[in-house]
Amino acid sequence: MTNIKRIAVCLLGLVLVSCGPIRLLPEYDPEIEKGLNKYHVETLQFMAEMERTGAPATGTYNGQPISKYYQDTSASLTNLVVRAEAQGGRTPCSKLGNASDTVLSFIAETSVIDDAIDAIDPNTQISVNQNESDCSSIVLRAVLANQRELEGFHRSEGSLRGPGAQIFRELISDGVRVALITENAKK
Amino acid sequence: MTGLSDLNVGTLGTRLVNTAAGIAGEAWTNIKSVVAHELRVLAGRIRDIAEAALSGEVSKTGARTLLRVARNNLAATIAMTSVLLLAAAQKLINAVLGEVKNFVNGAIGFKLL
Repeated sequence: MTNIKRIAVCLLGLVLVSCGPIRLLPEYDPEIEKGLNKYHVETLQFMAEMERTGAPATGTYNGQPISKYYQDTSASLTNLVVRAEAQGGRTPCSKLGNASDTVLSFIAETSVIDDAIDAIDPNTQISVNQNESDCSSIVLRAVLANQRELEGFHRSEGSLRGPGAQIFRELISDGVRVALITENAKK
Repeated sequence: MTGLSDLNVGTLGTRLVNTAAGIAGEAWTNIKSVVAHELRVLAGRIRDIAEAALSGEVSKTGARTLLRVARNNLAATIAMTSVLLLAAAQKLINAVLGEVKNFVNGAIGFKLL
């Protein structure tokens, strides 16, 4: 390396050091953590009440039509997605191939997921969302998508009682936990 | 008293490598443990869905819905892993830059950076 190159490298290093901390992720947003916790508590309360009463999706909850609960929770979660997108990571999640490979290699090791899926439908395949959003937004979009699926499940099953509703409740909690881990990682 | 002669690139290099190895090793162990836990939980849920569908406790339509939710969670777990890796990289870069700052300021004897 020539002396000029060495000096250039040193100067670049000094500039980087003097610029303060480098951020690769959007800032931690306490409103997202708060919103997720609020949604989680509300949904657990709602599902406990649905388990108790066995009300259909056309019934009432807290003196209001159940459809209002679904509308309100979807609106709150959509707002969290918009907040995350507005703060925006600049790297689309689909560009971060290494992490996907890492996770998929875990799955390949266990293969239990594929086995379980095959037990239901041999044509079902796991596909990774190749969305252009940043990774934080995708995690919140998953929580929102799960909530929307809950309403459809409520309608198709007639009530939110029994093993199916219990699995759904656990899946919702799993999604919220993943979202909270993601948000807290930015601190 | 310190001076420019203390700006030993070899020493700085060793310090940077030690800092990076410590942080990267710890971060990777944590990430692996969190991701493995979430995937094990997810695998258990999918097994539960399959069992409930096979025993007729959940309708086929309901089982498909639950499976879609599980797949949403898988996509979220993959995205979460990316964020955890970026957070670790961010911590690593800033720790190494902090080490350079301390080294240069210490060698020069005043707060240059």
